[in-house]
Amino acid sequence: MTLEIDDITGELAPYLSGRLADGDVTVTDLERHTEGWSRQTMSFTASWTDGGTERSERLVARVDPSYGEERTFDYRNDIQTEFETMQAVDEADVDVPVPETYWFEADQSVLGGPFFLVSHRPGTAPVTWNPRDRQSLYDSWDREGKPLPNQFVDVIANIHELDGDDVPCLEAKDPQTVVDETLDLQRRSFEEMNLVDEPAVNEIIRWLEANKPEVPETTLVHGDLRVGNMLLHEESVSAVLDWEMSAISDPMFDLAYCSLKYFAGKLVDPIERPNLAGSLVDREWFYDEYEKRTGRTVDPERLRYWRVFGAFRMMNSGVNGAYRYHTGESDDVRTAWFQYIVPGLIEDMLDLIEADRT
Amino acid sequence: MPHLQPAQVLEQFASFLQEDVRAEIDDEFVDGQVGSMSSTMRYLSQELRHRDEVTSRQRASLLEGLEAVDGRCDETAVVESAADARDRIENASANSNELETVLVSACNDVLETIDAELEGDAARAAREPLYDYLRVRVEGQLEMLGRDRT
Repeated sequence: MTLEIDDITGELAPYLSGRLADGDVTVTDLERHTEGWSRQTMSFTASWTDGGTERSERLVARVDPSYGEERTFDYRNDIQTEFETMQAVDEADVDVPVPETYWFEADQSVLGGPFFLVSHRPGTAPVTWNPRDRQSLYDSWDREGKPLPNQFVDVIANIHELDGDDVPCLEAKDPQTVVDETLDLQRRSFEEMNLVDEPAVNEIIRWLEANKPEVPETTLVHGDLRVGNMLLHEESVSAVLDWEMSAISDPMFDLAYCSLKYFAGKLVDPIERPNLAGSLVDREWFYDEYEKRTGRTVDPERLRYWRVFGAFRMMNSGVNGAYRYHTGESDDVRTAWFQYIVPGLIEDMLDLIEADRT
Repeated sequence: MPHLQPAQVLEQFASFLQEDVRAEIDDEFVDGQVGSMSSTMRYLSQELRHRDEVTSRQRASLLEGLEAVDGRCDETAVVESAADARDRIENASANSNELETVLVSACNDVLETIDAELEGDAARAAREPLYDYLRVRVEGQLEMLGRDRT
């Protein structure tokens, strides 16, 4: 379901009146953002009078209009958990920039689904598949002092300072159970939703089953951590967004996932600087700095495992999109297009496992 | 029918959507949908142009791989599986859609048999020629999306 801007504006103003401020609140300049899939994100300016003083604030609403609908193999956290995760990070004593959290609204009558409100943060999320955005990130890596790359490492290191006690909305499990369950879910997803039973993917699954890592600790893991899920503003990270895949899991997953070539902009052709994770940080520098700042050891084999797994999970998103379009579960054109991410990811996974299998 | 080449029509429609239609859209969501539509049509056009050749290359690669499996493996179940796969491919329709289904299924069957029957170096040696096919297959898919052939 696509929400119409006029409808949203008309619903939000009376809803916010008496909640955001005692008196009437007006809503203007509503902008819908395209990056969301089933969850829709929109920003707007709320204005009100406080003791005779005009006040206004730019806010962001994130809505799940598909809440409660059956969606095959939807492994994201529900929108309330996404909000509570952000809230926990916002309130924790760590330096992780997240938008200030306002509240979660379960009432679906306001915006057609449950939603939450957060403050608007300045900046833009780079699209690494866009050559201009990629070049801008390369420039950040080449810049003296590397302020953005350094903050990128700090942000990840700081997220991993939090554990299950800090984020009670996320279930903490035994580390090996986490590995078993996450792989089992993705394997079943591929088996049930693939339209082509790709032999390369079956090989990758066999490798993943045979090489499960020993995980010594779990922390908060963002789960979809990449430079494209960060707002960048004046050579700094102004916000980390999209916490819907967060879990208490192996911190190496985030490191591996944001290092995927796909998230550095590889779709079909190799990228210009494949050694730069996220087109922003040299991989070896990144892992070394992470070790220095956290005291953890970055185990290359565990990292390789999660790189393969991360690419597999991402590939499954493409496979699932094609399946949902094929079955009529979705008519979003992007789900049909999403099949085209699959071959490049298979190529990357083969690069990572072939030496073990042949 | 057709008087026009489907690949050419798709290519031109994709260009029209990208260059003319998107410029007239002021809704970010609709713009994203049309952009994805244009990109999908361009990929479909390339698929129509190259699919037969790419599938034929896959067929040759898998047949070669299966022959190599036969030559380097003594395990009866694997040898029989490779022979059965070769038969199925040689008797498959030349239609790219149907042929590709047979290729994928045949490769899966042999790789599964190797996994069930062999271990360690013997399994790796048997798999190796089939990985050549996996590479040819994925490179062909990427060529259909526009990557230059190496």
